Amino acid sequence: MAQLPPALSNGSVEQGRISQRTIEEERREQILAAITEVFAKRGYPSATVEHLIAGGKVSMGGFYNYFEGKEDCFVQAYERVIAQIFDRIREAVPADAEWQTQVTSGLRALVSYLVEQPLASRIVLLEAQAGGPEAVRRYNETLKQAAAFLRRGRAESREAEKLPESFEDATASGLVWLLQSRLARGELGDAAELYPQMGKVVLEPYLGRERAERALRDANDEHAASR
Amino acid sequence: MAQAGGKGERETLRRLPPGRHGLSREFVAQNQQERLIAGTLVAVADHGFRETTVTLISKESGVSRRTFYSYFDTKEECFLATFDLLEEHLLVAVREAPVSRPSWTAQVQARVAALLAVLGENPDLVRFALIAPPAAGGAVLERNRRLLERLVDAVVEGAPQSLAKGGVSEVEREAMAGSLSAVLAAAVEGDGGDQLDGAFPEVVELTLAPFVGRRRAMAAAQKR
Repeated sequence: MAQLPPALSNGSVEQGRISQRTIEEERREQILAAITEVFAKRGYPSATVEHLIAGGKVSMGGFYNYFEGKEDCFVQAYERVIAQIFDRIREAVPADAEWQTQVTSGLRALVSYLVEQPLASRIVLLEAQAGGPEAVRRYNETLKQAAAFLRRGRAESREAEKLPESFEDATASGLVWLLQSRLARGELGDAAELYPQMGKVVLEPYLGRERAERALRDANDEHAASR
Repeated sequence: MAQAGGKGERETLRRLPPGRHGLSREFVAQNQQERLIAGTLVAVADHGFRETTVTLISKESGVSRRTFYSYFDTKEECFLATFDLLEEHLLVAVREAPVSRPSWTAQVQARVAALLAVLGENPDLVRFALIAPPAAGGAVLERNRRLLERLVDAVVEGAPQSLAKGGVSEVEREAMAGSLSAVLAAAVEGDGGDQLDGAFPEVVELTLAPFVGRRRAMAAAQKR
């Protein structure tokens, strides 16, 4: 029953990965991390390849060795951050947990990542929509994955079956919207305050107010106990 | 009276009678500004924010580049002025929607219908205010967000204390604006302006649900 969405269910975290990593991959990772900051600080439209080269501490030849150009470079930076976010969620969400627990612990993991990594978050939440057709396509795809995960909530109650077709798309957009607004204002604030409110928005349509509030309280207690 | 330097000269100029067209300076100014804004709307609807240049705006509005720069320093400034005007227009349409029964739910239904009607009749406005901003980013995207948040606020305005008391948080309001934006964009992109009317049940539901609960919101969304 309680399965992780495809994007989240990639088995266990691979332990030996770092040691197997070639120097090449390590270098690419380093460059992408630095370039992510350049995109975040300058904004996609005004960042030039010169900015990326300077910020990434890479030569012109090196840059074009790793990336086809600015757009491709952005897409790779985007994918890197999305992978980090999914890793974080996967680590936080017990694989056999029921849907509502996946929602609460997944949201907590997501929000804490965003609070810790505001620059990386900027490029996936704010710059991606201005990052060219391929970035927009992937951004929309990520939203669809989130909506598909939310849709599992329909199995939780009869009433939820009557929700409109596109309900989860709208909810996913709503959640992303509020994160974008806060990130743009530099006010993501306290993860501990934000994620329960987001959890309420997600859970209530499926569980009703009371069950949703109980689920959030339980999640909070459990989290407090595990620390 | 006893003012320094060049000021005296400007005073006299301002007292001159209107030009031979018989129109006041203010009128001409307002008219030019309105033309510029109308031209901006069309240019952005056709080309998007980034591709829209002052030259394009000047061409669409029939107002010279020079005149453009007497009103706005940059095209961004003009975009924001256009948002202001659209917002005013939309908010008035929403708030003045006639309500058949004296109930808040009926008012929400009427306001949603009015909003969808205005948007349905103005495809350029929809492209400018809803479709084009994400690709523009920056100040334009910020302004688009504020517009949607204000629209949501206007639609749910006047919620009875007893309902609002249950606690509609800031987070819920922001999520509502985002959902509204997504529903409208999907309705528009699902080709044809009349599709917007089809978004009525979804929009009513998403605006009412945080106040009255999902079940009652779904019921209200089905009847008009």
